[in-house]
Amino acid sequence: MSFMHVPEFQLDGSVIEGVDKFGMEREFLSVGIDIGTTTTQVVFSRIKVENTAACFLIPEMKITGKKILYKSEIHFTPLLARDKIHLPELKAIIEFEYDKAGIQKDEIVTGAIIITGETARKNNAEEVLRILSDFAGDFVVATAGPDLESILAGYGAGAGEASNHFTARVVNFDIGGGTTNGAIFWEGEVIDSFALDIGGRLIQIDQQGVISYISDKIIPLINDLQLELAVGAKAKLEDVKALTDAFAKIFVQISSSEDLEEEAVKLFIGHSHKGLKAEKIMFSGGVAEFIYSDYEIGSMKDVTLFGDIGPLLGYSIRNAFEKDQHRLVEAREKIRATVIGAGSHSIKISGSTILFDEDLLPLKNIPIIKLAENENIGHMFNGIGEKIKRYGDTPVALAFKGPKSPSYGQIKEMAKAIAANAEGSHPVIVIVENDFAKALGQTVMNMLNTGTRVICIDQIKVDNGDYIDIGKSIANVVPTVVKTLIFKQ
Amino acid sequence: MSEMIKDISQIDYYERVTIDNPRDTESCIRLKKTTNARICLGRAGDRCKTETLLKFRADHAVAMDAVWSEVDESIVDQLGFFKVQTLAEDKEQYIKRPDLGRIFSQGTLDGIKGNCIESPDVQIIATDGLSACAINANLADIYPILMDGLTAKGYAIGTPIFVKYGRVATMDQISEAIQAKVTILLVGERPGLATDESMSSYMAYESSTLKPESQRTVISNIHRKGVPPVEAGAQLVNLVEVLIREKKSGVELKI
Repeated sequence: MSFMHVPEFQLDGSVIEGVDKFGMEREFLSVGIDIGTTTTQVVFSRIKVENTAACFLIPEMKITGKKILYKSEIHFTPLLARDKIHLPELKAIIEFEYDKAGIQKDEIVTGAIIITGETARKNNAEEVLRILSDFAGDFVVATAGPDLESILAGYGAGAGEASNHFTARVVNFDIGGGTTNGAIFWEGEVIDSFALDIGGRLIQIDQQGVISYISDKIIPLINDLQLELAVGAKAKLEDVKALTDAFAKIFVQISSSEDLEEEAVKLFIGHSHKGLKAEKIMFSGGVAEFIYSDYEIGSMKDVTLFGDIGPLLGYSIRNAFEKDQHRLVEAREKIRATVIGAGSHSIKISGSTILFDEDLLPLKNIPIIKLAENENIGHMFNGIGEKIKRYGDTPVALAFKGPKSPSYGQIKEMAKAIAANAEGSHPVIVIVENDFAKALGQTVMNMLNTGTRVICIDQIKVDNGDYIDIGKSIANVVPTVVKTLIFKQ
Repeated sequence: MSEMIKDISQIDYYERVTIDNPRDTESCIRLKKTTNARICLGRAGDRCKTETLLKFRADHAVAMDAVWSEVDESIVDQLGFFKVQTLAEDKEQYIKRPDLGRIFSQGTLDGIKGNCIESPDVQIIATDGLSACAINANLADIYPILMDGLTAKGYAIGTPIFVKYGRVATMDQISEAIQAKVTILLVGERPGLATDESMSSYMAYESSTLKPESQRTVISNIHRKGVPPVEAGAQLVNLVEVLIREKKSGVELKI
């Protein structure tokens, strides 16, 4: 079988060579570390930021090239027990890969460690992330959360670019060991993301064909399908295949926005999908290696290649989409999609006319207070003092979209409300979507005039409940990472 | 009747697809957003549609009008600008004789010397250039933020000057007359078919008639759909700092 491809732009090819426009061109190293249910991987990329505006315009710094310098081996994620990550061994793996790549920690400018799938639900996941993010480099952020994971995997697989290339809604399913992360892209942006308890390792089977593990998450579905699958029993191909076929059907239904059965809906993690139809379909993750291949399965022996149901799940999906083959696009990265996404797509560059205080950076884990848009600017800021106080000693960032081209009167009104709510020793951090951060930041600073530090950046979109990390500046812009933490307090 | 006739100047043509029964409207809109070119228009036989032709003519008319438009002097009066005029006697002469739009009479220069602050750190000038509409649309937002920003930095700011029938080079003569360190000239850009509100800001360190054009640092495309005027103002405050620190401008300055 052959599949459509997304043409190679710059992602895996060479970083575009260009003239150095007024010295406004920088390259930096980024790391991505993915600690998944089954595997742990490390990727190093070189990211290029340069001025893309013509010389009589205000500079517009953009990421113009990404080159993957090093892909690690695929390690099994070390576990102490089913619910505990083996931190010392994990550290050893990461250290080994840094050494092998010949990269020093202080060369890393940015990047992300993402803890994914079932691993994020382990008891010591939060501790592991915290310790590793310091260990991996200065501005390497720790993230987790099924939605973010979906987005990063989708970008890593190339679904963002595919949506532009095919002018189509493209869904990417990243099927890992424990979970499947779905994201739908349109015009290079994510329009929906979700996660499901579907994975290649939810059932584990030994070489003799005896089931050694079944995840609790899929027991209701197994019962519903009346399959004879139990720990300690020998697995029959027809039973396992009935389950993987049921999973495959769910992917068919989601990508065609058909109604899902009750037991399938229960597999969503946290929230359901929006039900958008996608014209093109992509698969990444370890299981995808068996979708875009001609690996045949005739007996249980063919299934248990890795001691799980991954190959069979891939086989079921391939067959389920046989009639729809024209909609399938081959992912650029499969098992490495998430780690590549984490290494090079987690970072967003701010607008070029912003205000920041280099001494304050990097800032990590700043909670966002998102203001509701209101034509009456005064109303927008009603009651924010209360909200800020709730965070006590933690500095917070105020975020809103703001008018497209505000008048100076509007800028002053916003600045006045922000200055009035500046809390003592905290820096004032403001994040807006439209291009007026420098004007706003400067005006706030002039109003405060007391040595209170101000950071005001634009062209970054955040939501309530998000956290933002702001890195040290690169050619007058700042890299940011927006994340949603799922760890429950 | 007015309900039946669309005001084509009020429609957002960056999103309006006029192809009959397009197979994929969303993709057309996506294409349109990437360019100022007039695409996804559809056709009537082998010609463009009436709407397309009218829109083109309307945009062209806006550009033609902009060239002949006058700055609303109540705006410059309110902001406290000192008003002068180049040697161009009227709009027609200004258009026909570019040379006259670059120079002042001795009397005008004496007037500037007598009425404006001498040796300021920053001198701000506004002039109509080829689109007075640009000044009318942007000056009231860019000027106050520029003033507040420069004042907060502690710079001595000159008396703002409005030049009627002026071109970019007028900044050199004014700078020489009052010995300004940095001169900023806000000027209406030659209008195209996209907007008549686009303004440029030219800046120079010790702007002089003896220096080449390359002495100037420029920010162009200042208008509400380009660089917002307030944001350009904030950026100019930063650039003033750079120019004063580096004691140079234009191509000599690597930002």
